Amino acid sequence: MSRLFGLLALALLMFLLVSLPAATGGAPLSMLLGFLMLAAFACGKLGNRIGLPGITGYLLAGLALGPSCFGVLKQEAIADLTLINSFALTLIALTAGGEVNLGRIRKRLVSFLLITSTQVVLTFSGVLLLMLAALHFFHEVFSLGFKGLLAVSALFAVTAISTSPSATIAVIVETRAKGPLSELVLGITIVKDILVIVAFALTLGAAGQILGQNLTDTAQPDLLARLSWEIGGSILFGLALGMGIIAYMRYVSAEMTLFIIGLSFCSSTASQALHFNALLVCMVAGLVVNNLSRRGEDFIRAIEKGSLPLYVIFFAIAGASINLEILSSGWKLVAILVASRIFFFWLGTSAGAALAREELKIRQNLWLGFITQAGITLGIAVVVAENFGALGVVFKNLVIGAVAIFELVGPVAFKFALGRAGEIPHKGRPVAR
Amino acid sequence: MSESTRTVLLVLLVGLFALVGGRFIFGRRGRSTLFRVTSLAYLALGFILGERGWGLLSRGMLGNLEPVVGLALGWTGLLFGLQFELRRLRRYRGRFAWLTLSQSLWTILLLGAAVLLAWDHTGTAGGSRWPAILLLALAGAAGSPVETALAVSASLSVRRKFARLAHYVNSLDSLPPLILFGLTIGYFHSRAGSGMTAALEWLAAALMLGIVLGLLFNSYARHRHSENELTMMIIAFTVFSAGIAAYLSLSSLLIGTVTGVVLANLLPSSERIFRVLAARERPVLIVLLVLVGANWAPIPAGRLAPAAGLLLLILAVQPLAKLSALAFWRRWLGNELEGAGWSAGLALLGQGGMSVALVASYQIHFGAAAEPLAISLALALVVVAEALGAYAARLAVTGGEREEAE
Repeated sequence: MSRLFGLLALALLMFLLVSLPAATGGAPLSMLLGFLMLAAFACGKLGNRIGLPGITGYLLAGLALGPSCFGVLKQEAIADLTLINSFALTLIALTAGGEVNLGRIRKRLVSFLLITSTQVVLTFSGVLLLMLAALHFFHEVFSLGFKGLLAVSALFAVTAISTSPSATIAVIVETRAKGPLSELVLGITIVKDILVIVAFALTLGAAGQILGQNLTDTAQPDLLARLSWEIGGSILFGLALGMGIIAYMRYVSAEMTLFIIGLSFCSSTASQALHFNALLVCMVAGLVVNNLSRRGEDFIRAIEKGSLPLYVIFFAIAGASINLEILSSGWKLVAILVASRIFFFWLGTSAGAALAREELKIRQNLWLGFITQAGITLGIAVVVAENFGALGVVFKNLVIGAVAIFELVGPVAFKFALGRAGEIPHKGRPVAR
Repeated sequence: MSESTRTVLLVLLVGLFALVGGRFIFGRRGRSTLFRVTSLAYLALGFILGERGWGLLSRGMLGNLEPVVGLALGWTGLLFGLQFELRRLRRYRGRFAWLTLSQSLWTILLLGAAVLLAWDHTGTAGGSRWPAILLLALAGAAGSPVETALAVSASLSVRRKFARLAHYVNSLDSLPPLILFGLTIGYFHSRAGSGMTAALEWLAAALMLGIVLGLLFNSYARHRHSENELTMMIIAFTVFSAGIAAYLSLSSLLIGTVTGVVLANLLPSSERIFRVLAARERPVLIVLLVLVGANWAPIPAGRLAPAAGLLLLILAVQPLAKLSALAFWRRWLGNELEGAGWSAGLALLGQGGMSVALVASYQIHFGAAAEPLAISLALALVVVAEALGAYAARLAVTGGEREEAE
């Protein structure tokens, strides 16, 4: 109750401040960010009270304060927060990579491969077919021939494969979950991240030819070279970054907070300049640090120890970016996309887990861990919009609508799955991390 | 070489510097730590990264990093304010507080007078002289307990009572500079008619806001929280209060301090908040130094000689003020001084986070009207104090009883 009171008092203070006659000009970025963080944190705590993961609260707070609802956070402010957001993302990705233990994954390699492949193949083909049928039925949305609809459906299917590593790691860190389910979800999510980039580049090239679009430079012919550069370069840079961190841990091992801040700045700036995928770079770096260094775990724990503000900022901004208007306009297609993705994730993951003869609790709950979606899917949507004109914009809006739902539902489902699989330690019980 | 390749090379170079520099700086533990140049190193790093250097921290990027500067200022203010827990302060003699206030005001007065007399000879003219003069006086008077602590830890025989007194004074003597800086900002406030009445009104507004935020923080923090959650709340509140301060053109340092005072006296677990703040104070200060360095505009070559003269004058007046203040108080604090002679005032020459924070606030509030000379000199004072302050403090605090080996 007192948390609610605190939240209301905070909102009242903010309201009074922005309506002060003495104040001219827009609210500074720091005021908006501070308010967003406090409101999101309080919402996260209130959400915890009813069993929801904190990030759902952060997302909801962001959504409420964003342009879609109260508009405290305008679109320009969200754009200005990109820099801070990208810092947060690099650190979240480092933690995600650092949580993957290759030794333990090697022991479950068969499961890992079977589940990944069945999930990817079934989800891609299933969503493609269902979306093809749906687009054919709602033909006025895209007004294309069969081949054109097939190309658009394939792009939808690619977006359906991906899962958000940041939301996944956020739930794992918050719940302090430990066990096969969390390891499988995180490991497969990271691998799928690479698969999605490859699949998207190939699909985009094919779709461009079918739809007769002159793709912009970012999506142009020497696709293979660009793809190799982005993925290969990201992995190599991530390896180098990881080795650099290990060297620092070994030879300096001081001022960790400062080092982490500098590292975040360097990796995001360098990735941006070299057109690498910052998420992939940092995940690989985290993976290298945790698996090749005995002190790696200390480093990852050092980030985790101060990670809450990162999650709050990242997900509150993600919530503020959710556009509800899009949901209301194309809700039928969004609903089909959402339902088909969930259904085929369930089918593919359960089939893979059954083939791998996983325990019942894994077979029943694993699929729930893959529902989250965020950054990379939105990135795909933006690239499609940039390359396919009006058609691309409709595509982007539909994908954003679906991501909005998955962003909100995914963490809840994952936390529920972790609870059912018995991987969330009870309060008061020591956690062996 | 393309822009992106250049950026990457620069970033990698910075990384290499960090690694080698880290090995050099941190590998020296165990040797004498009295001589330190970390402020200079990080200011230089900021300058190199800034727009006048390699341009990695461009103006646009610095604008987007405004919440980080706000965080650092709020952090410094909050940490300072949390020291004013009345229950704890009552354990010390009342004369300590009077010494703290009077020596700080005396230093401000002497420094202000000296800088005022010399300012016109530096070739700087225009309406921005008063805030610049005040900045130098206030930043020069704001102390830091680090130097005394270093001197004590590096000495075998220490005047323990005097070291305790010096620590007390150095920890709290930034209060008058903070309030006067808040008043200065109010006086030069852009939204209301200037003058002392307006200045006092804005000062009162800052104090009220600090109290409201303190009460709000108290309502958030009184539940049981993990350290991670406390860190999150501290970051959010400091960024929020700094944002409000920027919105209303008030001093974020002062608001943060008042918030800290409210918390220290209302929140039973304020000690935990203090620990979290203190544990991360160094990285926050370093980030602030880097950002201040990135914004720093060097003094033109033609004005270097008068600037050096003014710096020497300040460096002469500052110890004079501290020495004379302690000499005046000798009559009432003879017992605490434990035989420390004329050099007692040397223990109060430390400068650090608060001075840098005042410079950063000055850069924010006065923007284009900020006088580069004042900023350069205020930063030079911090660098000199860091390099020599601990040696000076050692002269004052040693010579007492031999400390028992721990």
